[in-house]
Amino acid sequence: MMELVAESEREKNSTEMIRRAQRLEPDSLDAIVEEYAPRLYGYFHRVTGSRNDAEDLVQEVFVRVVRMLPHYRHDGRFDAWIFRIAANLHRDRLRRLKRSPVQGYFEPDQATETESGPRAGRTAEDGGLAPSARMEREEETRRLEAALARLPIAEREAVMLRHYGELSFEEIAELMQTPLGTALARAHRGLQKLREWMTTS
Amino acid sequence: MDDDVMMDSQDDFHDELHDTELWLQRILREKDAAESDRAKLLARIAISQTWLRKTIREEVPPGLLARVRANVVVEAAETIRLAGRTETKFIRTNGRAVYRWALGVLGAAAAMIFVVRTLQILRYRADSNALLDSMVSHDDDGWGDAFALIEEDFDDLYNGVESFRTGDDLFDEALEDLNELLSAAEEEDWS
Repeated sequence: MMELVAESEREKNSTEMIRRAQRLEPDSLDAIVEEYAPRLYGYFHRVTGSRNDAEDLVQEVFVRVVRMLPHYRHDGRFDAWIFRIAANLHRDRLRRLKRSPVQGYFEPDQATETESGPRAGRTAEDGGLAPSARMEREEETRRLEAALARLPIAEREAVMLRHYGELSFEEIAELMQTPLGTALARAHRGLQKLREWMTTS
Repeated sequence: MDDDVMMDSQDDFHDELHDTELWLQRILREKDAAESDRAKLLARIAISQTWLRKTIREEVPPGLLARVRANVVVEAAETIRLAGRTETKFIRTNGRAVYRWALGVLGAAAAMIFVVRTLQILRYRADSNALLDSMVSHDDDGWGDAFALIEEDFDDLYNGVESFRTGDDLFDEALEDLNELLSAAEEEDWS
């Protein structure tokens, strides 16, 4: 009962925040950036393999969000709305890359691969880690990125939309324009492969 | 990994499994094989996702939020400016439309007044014109009945003829008047 009340309160606050953001009030826009920018960055980073592209795409998502917010009709699935914009942007990027085959679909940054960059694999959590533990983490990150790079685009997208967007599989299926079973199968296959490659490499 | 983080992951894992189990039970009760397969698939996905959550570490570049915020502020200002311009344009466009409507209404009113006044003048002229007067009369509302007077004239004429035909009173009276005039006249008056 208490959980339901808390959930209802959260939903009310979220609706209020979105309503204020629709009037482009700075505080609410800040709250939306804080809530979604890290998730969007994670999604784009994992599906593109590039930090620079990920940041550009995050900025582009927010440009679109600000422009479209006044016309947005809140139906309780703001996450799905934002990640639909993100997924569409990612698709546009894929189409552009198909037309110019100089760059691959998924090219991990040099910084991430070589760990030579100042931001390579660093997080706030890393601060207190011993050098050996940090190296272990960085090694794991590199393996994960290598595994993600091997994953077919559709499987990678399904896994990441679920992970970062927290979308339901119905929403993922609708977004990817596939039947529900296909979306489930893609996510399942993708995750299985990731686990397998990560543990065997 | 911290104990707290591990505990959170375990809690998430248990919550997700519990939700999946409930969903699975519901689906199985409905005995829908396809849905049941999906539910099993979803349960396996949930397990793998828990693993993924533990594996993926969030790596947000320093300053990303500040850069995004700055961009959002600029974009919001631009959107507000454009919305204001659109609103002004909307007001102007509608203002012009209202102005045109007002002009149209005034024009129509002027045309109606012109027609009414013209009719009134014609009626006034008709009152002072013998020919028209004989053809046009006005009822209580002031509207003309073109043949009413003609009809009255016909009635008078008919009545006069009838009175001559049915009685000599008027004719006799006229003769008497004439005799009186003739007898009263002096002879030299005839010369």
